[in-house]
Amino acid sequence: MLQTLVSGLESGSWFALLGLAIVVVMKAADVPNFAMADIGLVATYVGISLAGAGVPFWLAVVTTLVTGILLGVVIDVALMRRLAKYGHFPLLLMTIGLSLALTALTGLVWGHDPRSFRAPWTGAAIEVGGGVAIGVSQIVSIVVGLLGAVAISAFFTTPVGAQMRAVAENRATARLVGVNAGRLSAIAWGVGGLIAAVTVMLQAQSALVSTLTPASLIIYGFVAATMGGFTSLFGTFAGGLVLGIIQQLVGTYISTAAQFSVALLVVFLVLVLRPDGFTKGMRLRDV
Amino acid sequence: MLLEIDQARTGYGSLEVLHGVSLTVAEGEIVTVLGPNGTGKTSLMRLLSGVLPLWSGRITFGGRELGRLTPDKRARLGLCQLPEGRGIFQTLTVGENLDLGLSARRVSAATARTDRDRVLDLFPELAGRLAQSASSLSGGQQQMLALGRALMSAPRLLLIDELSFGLAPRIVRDLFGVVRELRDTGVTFLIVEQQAAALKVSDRTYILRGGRNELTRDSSELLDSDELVASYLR
Amino acid sequence: MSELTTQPAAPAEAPSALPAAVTAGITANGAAGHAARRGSGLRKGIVAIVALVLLFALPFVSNTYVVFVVSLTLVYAVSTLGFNLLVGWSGQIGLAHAALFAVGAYGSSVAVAAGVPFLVTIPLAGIAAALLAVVIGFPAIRLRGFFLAIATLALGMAIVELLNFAAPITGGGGGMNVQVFALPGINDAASTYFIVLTVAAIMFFLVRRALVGRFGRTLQAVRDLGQLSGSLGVSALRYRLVAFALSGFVAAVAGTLYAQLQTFIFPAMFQMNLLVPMLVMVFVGGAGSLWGPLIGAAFAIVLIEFFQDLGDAQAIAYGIVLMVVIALLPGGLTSLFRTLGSSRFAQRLYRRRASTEETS
Repeated sequence: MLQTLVSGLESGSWFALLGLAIVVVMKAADVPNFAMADIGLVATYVGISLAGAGVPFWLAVVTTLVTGILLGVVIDVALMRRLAKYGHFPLLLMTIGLSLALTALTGLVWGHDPRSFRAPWTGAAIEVGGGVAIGVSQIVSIVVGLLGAVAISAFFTTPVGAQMRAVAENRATARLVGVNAGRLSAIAWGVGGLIAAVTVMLQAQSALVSTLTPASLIIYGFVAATMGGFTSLFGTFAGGLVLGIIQQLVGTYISTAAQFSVALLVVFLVLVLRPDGFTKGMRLRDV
Repeated sequence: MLLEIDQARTGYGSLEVLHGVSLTVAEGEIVTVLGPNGTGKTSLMRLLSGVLPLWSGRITFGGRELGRLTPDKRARLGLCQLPEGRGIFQTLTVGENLDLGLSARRVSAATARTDRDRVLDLFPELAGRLAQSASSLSGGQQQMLALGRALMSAPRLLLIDELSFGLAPRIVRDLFGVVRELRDTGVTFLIVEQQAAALKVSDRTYILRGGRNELTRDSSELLDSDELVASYLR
Repeated sequence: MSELTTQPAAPAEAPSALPAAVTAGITANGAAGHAARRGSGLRKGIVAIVALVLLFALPFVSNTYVVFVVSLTLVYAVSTLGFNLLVGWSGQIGLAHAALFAVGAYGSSVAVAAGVPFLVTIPLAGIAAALLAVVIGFPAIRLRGFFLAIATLALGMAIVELLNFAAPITGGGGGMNVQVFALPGINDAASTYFIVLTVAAIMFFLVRRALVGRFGRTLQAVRDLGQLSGSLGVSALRYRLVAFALSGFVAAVAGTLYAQLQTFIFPAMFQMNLLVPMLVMVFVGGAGSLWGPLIGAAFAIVLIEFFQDLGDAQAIAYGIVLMVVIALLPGGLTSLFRTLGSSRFAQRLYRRRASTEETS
């Protein structure tokens, strides 16, 4: 039971982080980014290759993060920005096309075999008594996930973060006030790429990743983002964790085949019952 | 002239709303634009801030042609706007709303602080509420916040769309008092209004009707002839 | 108050008064529009009939592969016709289209297996999918922009997942064989082709009838004014729901034909790998023209057939071609959103409102 819970929290942390990456881009750039997990995968594969070539672990990690940021910014500046004035549909389609191309490109360059990003602690475990052991990499995922969520929340209270919240609330008025929406969107894509790189890297240091990873990860990321109403950071994070635990419980006690359907059901229920995210009411009461 | 509009035409889609409006604002002036609803006053504001495209005619600001500059670039030139309905961000705190004005310029933290103190001196009611959500403010306080935010961006020309919108007469009077004070510190104003109350603070007044210039007078002249104004605003 | 109605951020005035205004504008404009269109309509009709005759001759002059590819193109064109109605004409990015297509394919195949004649299953599957589309659209319709996209995407995926679980009827993930209906006297490929062609012609005719008339203009007006005013009245919501139902009907009809053409269907056929080409077809085809879906479908088919068996290279090529097309034709859809007719109509609508309010 404890093992199930920890595994749920671990995968939940990945979902939560990717959901946060989606929300950041949605807030500032008003695009649902279907290529988010692919960006993370490409960045992680770059890191894995470097580590495999003998580059020190932490340097490989930093390179992965930088790759994620650069990918995000370049995509925004080169592809997305000029489409913004044509409405939602081309933007949505562009991220889908990008996702297809990036996944395939990854397969072409690195192949389709699953890989892992070996960290110094990979394989180590902590005995918690009763014969139950928890992997260090699981703890790393959960702790980094938590820190990431705190960091993103802190980011949104900085002046740039406040500008993003303003853009999210009313893009037109924000521009009237002098907010440079193009610059904000590039920053958001960079931050999104960074978080996506962290997410896939966390998964790779604990389990295996392959070109199949983005397809499911992105759906779970969107489920988490939906649970936060695409705006609430707390709702997205909590949503991701809850989803991870539900998935793990369904997988353990019902069947792994049902996991995906359960996730879809969650999206539908949230959107129908609480289109603004399931923490919306709570937040209002706090105020 | 700080702002010159010459025969400006604009509209929505293929629907023309302004049919060649001309207007000038000199440095240090307070100019009002009056007219009943539906004459294109708000469209004029949107044209100036770059939300609506200029179909034909010319707009120069500080000698520079505005062309197709985007709203945020115009704000950075010092052409700032207090948008209709105030444009306060409800999900931000009062302080964050104020600081948004800084996004229109590059300043040191020290300058930002002194500017903020100056704005808070002007609106002491806001000083104690910086950490509060902007949605907790009253209508009058929100308008102060909007004005304060615009001042944070160090405007050369401040466009105001209906300062009096939804506010009690007493508050409107106070706000116009602030406008006059600010003019003395070197800010120029272009105020769009539906109420004749704005005449008391302004130097010159343009009356628009059906998307065209109807009448241009010194405000004092119009103040003396209530019926004249009333007939145009009906 | 007239200025309010001309401005995007207008308060509640515009939406609540919208349906009445829309209807008024339509009845006023309908007659004039018809008369003007009649001349060119005749020429277009002749072209269409000649094209149809040529298409009917196709199986007698070419091999089965060409016949199959043309059939597939027509099936996708019909499906795109429905998708276009939803995304282009009513402005709602509903992403359950592949699932509704699957409902048609499975509904028809299962019914045929149970002894129902195939031709009867076409309208039946269509009606079932239309009802399902309303069920999907009903909660989703209040959602804005991307939220609608994500809700409908999730629901669509869930429907396809259900096909996996309903193994006793659908064969589950392993798929099911389709009993192919054949006209007497000709081979299966040609027979299926003739049915596809006939049904496609009927669907084009019906959708054209629906969109060229009052209904299409109302849909566009609801879409355009919805973008301006942000919220809509009840009657406008009803129109959007009807768009969902019609689009679901057309999708399922296309799905029934698709099953006949493929002769073997399995749930994985109807996932993202189908939805993405469907989106491309709508995008490339554009929203305004009725020939657009045909062009979009042909484009997607060529792309798929051309890059077949290239593995990763195919997916890259597909992704990149898609990206290039979007980058080069970003207004592919939106430029047609603002077709001349619709903008003139909207303009007249505004003028009408403006003038009535000024005189009063």
